Amino acid sequence: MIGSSPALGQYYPAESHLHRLDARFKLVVVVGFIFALFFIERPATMVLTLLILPLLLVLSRLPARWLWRSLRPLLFILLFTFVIHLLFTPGETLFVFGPITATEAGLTRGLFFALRLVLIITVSSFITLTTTPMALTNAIEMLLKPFKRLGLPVHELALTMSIALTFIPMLLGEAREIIKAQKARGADFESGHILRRARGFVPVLIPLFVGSFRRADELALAMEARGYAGGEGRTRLHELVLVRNDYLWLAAGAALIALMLAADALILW
Amino acid sequence: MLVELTDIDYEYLGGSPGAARALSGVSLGIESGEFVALIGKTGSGKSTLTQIMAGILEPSTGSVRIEGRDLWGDKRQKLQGRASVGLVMQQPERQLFETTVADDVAFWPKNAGVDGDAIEQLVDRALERVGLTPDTYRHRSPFSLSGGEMRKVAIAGVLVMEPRLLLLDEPTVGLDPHGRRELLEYITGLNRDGTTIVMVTHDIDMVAELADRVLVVEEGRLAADSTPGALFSHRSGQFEELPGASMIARELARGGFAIEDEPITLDELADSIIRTSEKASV
Repeated sequence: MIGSSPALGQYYPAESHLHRLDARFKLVVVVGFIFALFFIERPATMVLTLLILPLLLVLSRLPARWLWRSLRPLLFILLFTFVIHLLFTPGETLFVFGPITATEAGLTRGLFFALRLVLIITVSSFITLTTTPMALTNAIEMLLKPFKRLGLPVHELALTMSIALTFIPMLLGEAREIIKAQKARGADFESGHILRRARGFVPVLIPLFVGSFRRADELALAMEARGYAGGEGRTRLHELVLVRNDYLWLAAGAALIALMLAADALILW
Repeated sequence: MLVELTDIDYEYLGGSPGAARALSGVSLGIESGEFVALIGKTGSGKSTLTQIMAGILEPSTGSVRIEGRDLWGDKRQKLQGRASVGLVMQQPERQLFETTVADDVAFWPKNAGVDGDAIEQLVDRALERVGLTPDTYRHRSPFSLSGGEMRKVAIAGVLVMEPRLLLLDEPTVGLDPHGRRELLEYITGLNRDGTTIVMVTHDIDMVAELADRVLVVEEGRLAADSTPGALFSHRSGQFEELPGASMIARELARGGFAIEDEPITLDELADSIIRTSEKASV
């Protein structure tokens, strides 16, 4: 049911080194890390790289099950990747199952690609878990600034994103109220086959749409009334300020990525 | 007993670290035909309490009975129990979704499996109840109406099943004085015809004027259950907010013009002043 799912609002509030780190650096390091992952060739390095996860968990003070939570929706894709590689890589036969054969090379390749996906998903979810959506939008806006010259409406994009983010909890709250109101009039959202249930949500979706359009109009008016005239010359209430600590962590992140690449080159098996 | 709540606890996000107690240990009974006002500060649990009475929220512990039927017992009891409760939520116009007024009002009877001809009659009767001429409004889109009319259509959509218990959560908020008076007339009319009313409100004057019983909710608990007269008695000082009439009486007393009884509505105040001054002049 809408509202009981924690999938939205990934942010996990806590006091930790990772929470304090500047969001721009988090983004840069993680993008660098994911990039580096694609240069790794040996399964052993991939397995060793998994050690980064407990390290990040300690640094961020997140409960481990939150990582599992971010992986869970993608379990099917992970399994699919693994099985495809297991079955369609030529090599020595591991076992035969009807018309298909699994190979030893397939097993390692499958693990390799699945682990790469696991790392990409979990490491990037550390960004959303330790950064408020607002800080993240700010960071993205600042990192995209160079593209403004190419005509990308960076400020407007960031503003749209942050307004959308603030609207989500509001819309969820409103949806919950409307669901209750329709339930009180005998609406049934829980029984019947899937099509019936989908149609059952029309009495919720229509008021929700009507409400969002009205709210969007009101917001536009309220913004104009307070002198909003686009991004030119606008300043921020919370400027992102880099401190020495941020640079230290950035260096640590870079060192870790270098270590990973070096290990891949040195390990022989 | 029409409504019977026993030891109701309600927790938001029960079981998780963000859990918050909204109601604790609420027990109360409401007899058929009563007009009950539910008052208390914002966030005290009034809305939660009405939604529990309506069977929309399931209490964490405790039981809800409507006409003796356990709302969270077996499915049949639940359906029958719920059918006799109507809930008008805050800003009920938000619940409108159909293409015509008649279709929207017909939503509940359709869900309840009432058949075609009977539905039309019920819809017309509900629209008339809230002062909308069925012939004028039936085929209009609810979204083309004024705010006040939308509210009336939404309320008609709850009245349509002629519930024995009508729960209203701040029904007059956002209405102009005329719309407010109209709506209150319909509500008192319903009460006169036998519908039990439970109304959440912040309007103390309205409580003094209309209710025969007041429940005060404070931080999720039932802090008082009394009559408006006893609750607003300016001598006992039980309640910090007072109706206008009580405050005038208190000021008069302070200025040396002591009124014997304790008026809480303007009519009673006028009567008391006349009586007191007649006595003084004798």
